[in-house]
Amino acid sequence: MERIVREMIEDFGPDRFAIFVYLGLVAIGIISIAAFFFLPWSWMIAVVVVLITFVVWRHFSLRRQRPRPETGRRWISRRDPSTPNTAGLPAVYFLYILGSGGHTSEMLETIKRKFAPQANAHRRYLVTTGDQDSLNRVVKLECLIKRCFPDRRAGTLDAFQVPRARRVHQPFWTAPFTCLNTAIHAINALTREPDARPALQHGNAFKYPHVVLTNGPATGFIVCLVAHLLKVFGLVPRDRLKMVYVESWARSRSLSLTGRLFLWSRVADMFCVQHEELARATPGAVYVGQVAARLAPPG
Amino acid sequence: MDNGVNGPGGKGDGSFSSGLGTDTVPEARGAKRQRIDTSSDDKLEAHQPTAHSIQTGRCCFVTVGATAGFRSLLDEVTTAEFFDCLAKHGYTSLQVQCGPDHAAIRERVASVSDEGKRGIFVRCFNYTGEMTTNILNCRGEDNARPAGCVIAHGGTGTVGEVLGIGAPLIVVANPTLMDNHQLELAETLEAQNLVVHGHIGSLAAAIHRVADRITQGRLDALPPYTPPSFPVSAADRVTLFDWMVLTCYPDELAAQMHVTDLGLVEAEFAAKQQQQPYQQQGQPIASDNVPATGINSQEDNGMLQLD
Repeated sequence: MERIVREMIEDFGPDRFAIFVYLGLVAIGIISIAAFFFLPWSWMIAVVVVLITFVVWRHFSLRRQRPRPETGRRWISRRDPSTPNTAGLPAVYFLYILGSGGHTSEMLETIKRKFAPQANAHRRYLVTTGDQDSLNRVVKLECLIKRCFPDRRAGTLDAFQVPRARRVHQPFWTAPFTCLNTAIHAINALTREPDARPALQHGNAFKYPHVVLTNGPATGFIVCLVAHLLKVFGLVPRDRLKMVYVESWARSRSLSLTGRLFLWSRVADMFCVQHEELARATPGAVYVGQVAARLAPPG
Repeated sequence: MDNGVNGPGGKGDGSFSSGLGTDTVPEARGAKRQRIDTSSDDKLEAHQPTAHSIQTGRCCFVTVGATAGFRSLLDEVTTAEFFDCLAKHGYTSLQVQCGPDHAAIRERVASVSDEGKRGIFVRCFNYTGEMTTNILNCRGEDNARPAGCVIAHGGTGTVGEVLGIGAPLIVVANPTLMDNHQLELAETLEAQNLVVHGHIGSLAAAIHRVADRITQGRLDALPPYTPPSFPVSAADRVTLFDWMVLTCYPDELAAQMHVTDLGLVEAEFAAKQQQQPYQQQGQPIASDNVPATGINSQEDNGMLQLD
């Protein structure tokens, strides 16, 4: 069984888009340079203003649709086992972004704590290139799920790889380029439909992930930024790719750098923290409880 | 030092007698106390290195995680003074997960004489993917082993795992990491009384506090460890992310939120009725309705009439 899971996990899909996106970026660069020389200033300014207005308008119209933090708190506070019921939906498709070390442990614990057996579930794991330890731990978790639910209720899974946003000790001036590389490879993972859920059978139900869950690695912010841009430009329908940021359990009094980026840019649809003290100090944050840590059993 | 070690034992005796005073102690708990008593005797006997009872000694597990090294902690736990302190508190085994500093620490341990180790068995290793057994060795269990302690860096993965298993834990924040973020968690958990926050240079004090805790919390005689059940019970499950999935299907979301609102109103209604005892006939209906969706329309009618 472990072999099957391992094959599923380590079969990273082919990267279909990166080269096209690079070509597109080069084309846009050439066009703007040409425009710089051939178009009058008034035209250039008009184009830029229209573009910026469009992006800002879309950004705010997307933000208006989000559930408010109060709604999130209400969802968390209620204890009625019949809702939310996602078993009847055509698809439940999560994208989990794994960082490294502690981020991975927290994410896997969160996945365990939120898991519900249902046949319409698909899980996609996004790992950074060369992070074998995280892969091994995902295999362990998936084996556990398969052991508990040998039938279809275990759902399906796959994994994708993105290059790291910044390697340890990498000089800062090259960071923007590696981040761009990460972003471009992330498009593939965000938009490619899973092999296990072909469109012939499921139509568009599994085309895009419903919820992107991240908890603090820098890669997570870049992926969410790309997801948001895809939605801003209308490449992904607005009722997919809902982003949930869960601040690391380590942060009990102040936000991490990634957390501040998420809060400031308002990219995430739901911003959660795991300590009450921090939730009180952060407007717009939802106290979700300690989802990434089991505390000592009484005894 | 002798006074320091006797301190917790004295406290334990105090709680023992007060427990007897209340006179409502079930037999099982009484038995546990008895066992604690013997184990604390064992601890006191451990002062003399010759006297060893059938019970194995306490185990201490030091871990610095996989990602970054933590040399100052490793240096501290391999000094002769630390071995001395461990031996005084009845420890007989020290496991050290060293990470990248493995070779250096191994040499350091080899350089300490057997006399300096005070009879403590020391094992160093680089990294293990399976820490659970090491942590379990530090969790006290009835009739199996006395409680030891885990000394860990402040990484969330390690801390979460140890707390989940329930072994006594000393957290030493690694100050060399990005904006010293481990300190925050260590201080918060210390304030919540879940861990002991240890400092480089005074780990002996932390070991002493753990000994206090073991005596007060009766950690030597915990029931056997049961791993957490995997599909968590419906009550413990985190549902926020499922709600987020529902936001992708607005109609379904509206329907389910409506059901939820009804549930809330009903709960409020039930609470109100409990406050007003003269309406007690209505109460059982209101309280055992909750899970079934089909009943909701009926309940709705009930609500309207009463309003």
